[in-house]
Amino acid sequence: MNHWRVFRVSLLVGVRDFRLFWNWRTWLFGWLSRILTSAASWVLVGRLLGDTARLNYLLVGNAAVAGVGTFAVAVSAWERWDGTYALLVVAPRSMAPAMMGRTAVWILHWIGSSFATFVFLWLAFSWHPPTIGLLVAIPGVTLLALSTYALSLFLGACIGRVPALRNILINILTSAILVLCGVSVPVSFWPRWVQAIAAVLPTTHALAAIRAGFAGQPGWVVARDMGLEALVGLGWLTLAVLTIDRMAEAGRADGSIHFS
Amino acid sequence: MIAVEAIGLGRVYEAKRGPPVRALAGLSIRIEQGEIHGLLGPNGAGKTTLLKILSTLLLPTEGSAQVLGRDVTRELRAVRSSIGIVLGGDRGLHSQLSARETLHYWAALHNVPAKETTSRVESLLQRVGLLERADARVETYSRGMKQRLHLARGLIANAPVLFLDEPTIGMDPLAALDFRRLIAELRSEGRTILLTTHDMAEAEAVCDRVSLIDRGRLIAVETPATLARLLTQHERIDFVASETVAARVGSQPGVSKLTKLGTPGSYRVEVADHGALSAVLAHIVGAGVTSVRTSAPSLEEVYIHLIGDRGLRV
Repeated sequence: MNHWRVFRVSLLVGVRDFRLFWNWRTWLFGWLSRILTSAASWVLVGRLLGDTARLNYLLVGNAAVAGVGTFAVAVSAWERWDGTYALLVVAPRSMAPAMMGRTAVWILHWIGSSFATFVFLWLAFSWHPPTIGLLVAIPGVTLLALSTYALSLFLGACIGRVPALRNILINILTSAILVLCGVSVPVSFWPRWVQAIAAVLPTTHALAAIRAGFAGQPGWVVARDMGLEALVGLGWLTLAVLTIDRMAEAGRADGSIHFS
Repeated sequence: MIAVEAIGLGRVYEAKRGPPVRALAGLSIRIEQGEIHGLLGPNGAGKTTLLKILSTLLLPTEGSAQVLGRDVTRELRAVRSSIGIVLGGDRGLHSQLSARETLHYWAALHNVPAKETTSRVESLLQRVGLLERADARVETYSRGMKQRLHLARGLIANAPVLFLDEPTIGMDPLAALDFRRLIAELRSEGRTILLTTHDMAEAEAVCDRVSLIDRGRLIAVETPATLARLLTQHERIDFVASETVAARVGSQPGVSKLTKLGTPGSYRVEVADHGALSAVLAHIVGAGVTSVRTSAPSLEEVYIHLIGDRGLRV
């Protein structure tokens, strides 16, 4: 019960962080317009290729991950910048709900961006997806955002001890998801060992489920891929929760945590 | 009853380059319940390292420490539930929250029951004088207001032991005075307070006892009265005179040291006994010297005198 309370009060910190970056105008005309332009460019590439299947592949992949980011990696380091990390460590509660609360607001940002992109591409490219596909896309995008968030949280916890590396890590992770997880290039294109990496990265299975939904494949295929994505997400979340407190312990031992 | 006890506490930091750094070297200290205890020392003396270990933020590499009888390395939850930490300066606060939100946030992290939180937050806001600005963002606060919020945050769990790290750093004199009044109130509630400071005057004003620390070692534990005596014991007189006059002044009773300063004809005498100060001054003025200035020794100079007088013996 108290974990939820800590999560809730920390979510408010996250909301305030978010407002430092965006208000509704800048979100709509700054962030969203950039995302939509990027997704539209990919779809135009598909159209130029003159292949409807490829067009749909690019459209679904880029719309689904349009908003997904790894910003939680960076946000995890903010407690250190604020000088509040030490106070969290010496609070009687586990830090994990506080870290999760502060970073969770970005999930909504990602989900909102992806849905907006789907709607935009639908209208702008006269795309007429099957209703069942859209129904699968809603939980699919949500799951994809949650599992990506879990990995970001884990990496954010790890990077807490070397925050200077956070931007490099964000770029590596974002690129890995965009390149390896079936957004624009099918996972099957890659060698088996790369496919194995893609299988434990978030996005891969959720995207497969969304594509299966749009392709009208049987429900069990969609459910299997959704289940796999949920497992991947839960795995990263478990690692994240364990790592957050473990890193604090390591910091206590090596003296890398400071009062301010 | 003992509130805080450290026995042979040591901490060595492994350096990436160069030899390991010893921040604490076998420090032992004992603080009674209800006592306000100051840790006084220059930068790098080991004050904050000691506070970090006692608050469970840092593991010692040797020795042991207890807070209210609980071991700081093994009984983390119990120790963390019994302490409040107050930091100095601008950091340690979420500047995008208001004071009220800040206190609700830390109340949740310190297991303050939800039913009690609102009343406790309001009462603390009232107590530290932030009620009228409770909904303004912390980033709009002055240094003094932030410091009061730090104190309220440290008190949110109603902890019996408080650790204050440089609580008045950067405060203007009026805000520092206000802060000291609040500390005095906390003393009357029977809380145990351990505070670090650079400021001897502050230590004198609020502490029951003061520990002087240097290079990770305890040099002395004194009462503020003794501290005040130390401050006046080595008072200095700077004057401009001829070499003959300076030599005569240097041979006066009570003068412990005569030093030639950088400017030609400038001298400094140190008076080892406050009682002799007026006699030495009278002698200087009587010799026709018109440029005279007295001053108290700095904290560092008091340390040097202490170490000189006692070696490193506690």
